Amino acid sequence: MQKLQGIPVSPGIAIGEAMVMDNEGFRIPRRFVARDAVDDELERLAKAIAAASAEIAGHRDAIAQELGEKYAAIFDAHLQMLQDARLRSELEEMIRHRHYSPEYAVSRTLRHYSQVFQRLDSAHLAERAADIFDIEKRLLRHLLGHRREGIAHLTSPVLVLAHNLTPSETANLDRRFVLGFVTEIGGPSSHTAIVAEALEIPAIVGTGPFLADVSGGELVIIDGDKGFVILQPDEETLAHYRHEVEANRSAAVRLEALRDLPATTADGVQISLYGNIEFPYEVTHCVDRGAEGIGLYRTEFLYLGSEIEPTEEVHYQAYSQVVQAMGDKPVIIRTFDLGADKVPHLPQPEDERNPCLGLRSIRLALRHLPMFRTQLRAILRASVLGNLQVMFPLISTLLELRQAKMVLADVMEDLDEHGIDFNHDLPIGMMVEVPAAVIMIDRFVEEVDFLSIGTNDLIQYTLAVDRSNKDVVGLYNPADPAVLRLIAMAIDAANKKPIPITMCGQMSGNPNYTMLLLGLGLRQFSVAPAAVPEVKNICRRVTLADCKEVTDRVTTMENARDITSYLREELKRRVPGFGSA
Amino acid sequence: MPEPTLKQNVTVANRAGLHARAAVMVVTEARKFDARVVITKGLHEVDATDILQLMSLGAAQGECLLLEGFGNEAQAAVDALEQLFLRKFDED
Repeated sequence: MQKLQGIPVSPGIAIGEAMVMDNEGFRIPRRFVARDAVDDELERLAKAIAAASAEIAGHRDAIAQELGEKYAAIFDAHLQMLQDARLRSELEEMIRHRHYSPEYAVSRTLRHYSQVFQRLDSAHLAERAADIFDIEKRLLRHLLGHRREGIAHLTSPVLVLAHNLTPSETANLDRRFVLGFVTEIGGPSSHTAIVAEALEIPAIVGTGPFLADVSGGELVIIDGDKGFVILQPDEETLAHYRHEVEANRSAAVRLEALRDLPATTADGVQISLYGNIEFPYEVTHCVDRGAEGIGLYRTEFLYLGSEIEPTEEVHYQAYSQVVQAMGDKPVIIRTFDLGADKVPHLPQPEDERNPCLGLRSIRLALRHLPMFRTQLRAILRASVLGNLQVMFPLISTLLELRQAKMVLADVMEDLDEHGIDFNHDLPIGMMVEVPAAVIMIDRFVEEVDFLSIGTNDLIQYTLAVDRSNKDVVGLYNPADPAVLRLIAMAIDAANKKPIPITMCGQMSGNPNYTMLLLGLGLRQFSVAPAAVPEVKNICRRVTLADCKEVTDRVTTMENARDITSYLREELKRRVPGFGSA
Repeated sequence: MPEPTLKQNVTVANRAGLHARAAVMVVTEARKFDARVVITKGLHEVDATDILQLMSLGAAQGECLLLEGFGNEAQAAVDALEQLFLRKFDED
């Protein structure tokens, strides 16, 4: 058994067969060969080795001629390794006696050697593991040939283990069969994290290298709650996790009963629960959980999924699908919130040493007006189909907000001129996620129809912590008193005006904070669809008086750790049975 | 296994150790003779013609290896391999 720790980015537990994707997107199936096919499979292996050898010999000669014998030496080594008699007999033994497919045998055997090399004391020799990978890849390429498949073509449920997944890989995967993700690199805002959350499957990123230790088809456990990846689990661990999966399932069934009940506190205060989505198909998840609207429709994937800029029609199709599915319930679309480095069709920024503080989000939109206008046109056109609202991300100054509103007014004028119908009273809101915006919030409330607090960025900018940096991630805490003060300021200003204020960051979906946020005066939560029933459950079981007590106590506390443990205790005390699935 | 007809200690003198290129030289040389050469580091012994095993030894600079030759051309084979180590595999 081997247990790895990564960053949990999507909760839940998945137990299943591993599908290992290497950098080239190979998947290595664990297939077994029939007894009477063994000779054919051995023949196939021999041919692959011969073909790979010929290829390497060709490289060798070309390099030797071009650069000299010395540089060709590494190919001699590859050739020797490939034709190693012991390796050959090991492979043949696996195929003949254990009935492994040649692909699986190659992957198993060569990964074993690369592990041996990696463990060598001499760094110089340990690096040679890369040569083994190279040979493995070459052989697999010859073995799999045209049968090379990606995650777009799956036939049975798998856990996808990869170094990294590209946006197009994640966007095109076969949703029916992927039970969970693990990637060696990536942070909480990686594509993998976003897609996994949308699919409601567990995911862990940033585990560091481990793919060499696992082969396709092996049993793996992903614990998306704690961030553990367990390879070759022992019986005890397996039993423990199977039990947990069962418990989660029955808890979900119990919460399902809440679907059609209102989110009203025990003393009769009406709370609104909305869902956050990224893809149109997630609307179903929201409706199934009893969400009263879409509080955050992220539009980034429209840009990430393709190499070319999405057309107005592409935007419009997506938005109209969501708005129509929600009927008269509100749908809040957030205009694109990306860094220039993530948008393939834009010029790459030159001086972007600090992308979080750089040209991203609304700043990028205001710099590339044609792209921004295309999105706004589509939003406006879709606004006649239902209860659509628009909000701008990462607003930090009043000037920025006014500029964005001016562009919108300009697009409206344009549509009017062309006689295209849209909602002239489209509600306009902004994300509150930069401390500067909170400090000036009394001015902002005069100029928008609603606010939405984005906690992820607000915490990052307030505490100056990059939460994908594991050396400082411990400093990232929603319960930090400085963060709580900013949240209180924003809620107070909105309630005083009054304009609606929602919280759509991860904090709003975390049950530990529900009472505190209610006590601070928040009445609208926008959360991952899966979190709707849990948050509703808490709302229904507490009184506002309870929540105010909790909030008063928290405001006297001085550090995040005390606040976190106090909130956990209070939740247990006031909502008995919570979390003890 | 018959008694080795010849034993010879060698030291890995080149900086990079018994890495891929050096191992290729050992394998290529060992195959030229009608002999079997076993290379031992501590408790591990491997065949001199088996490149993956050779590299798995992880023999780094300064480490001592034992060459043992068997068969008709044992003497010539061990001598030839010893020369490779003495020449630092034409490196450094």
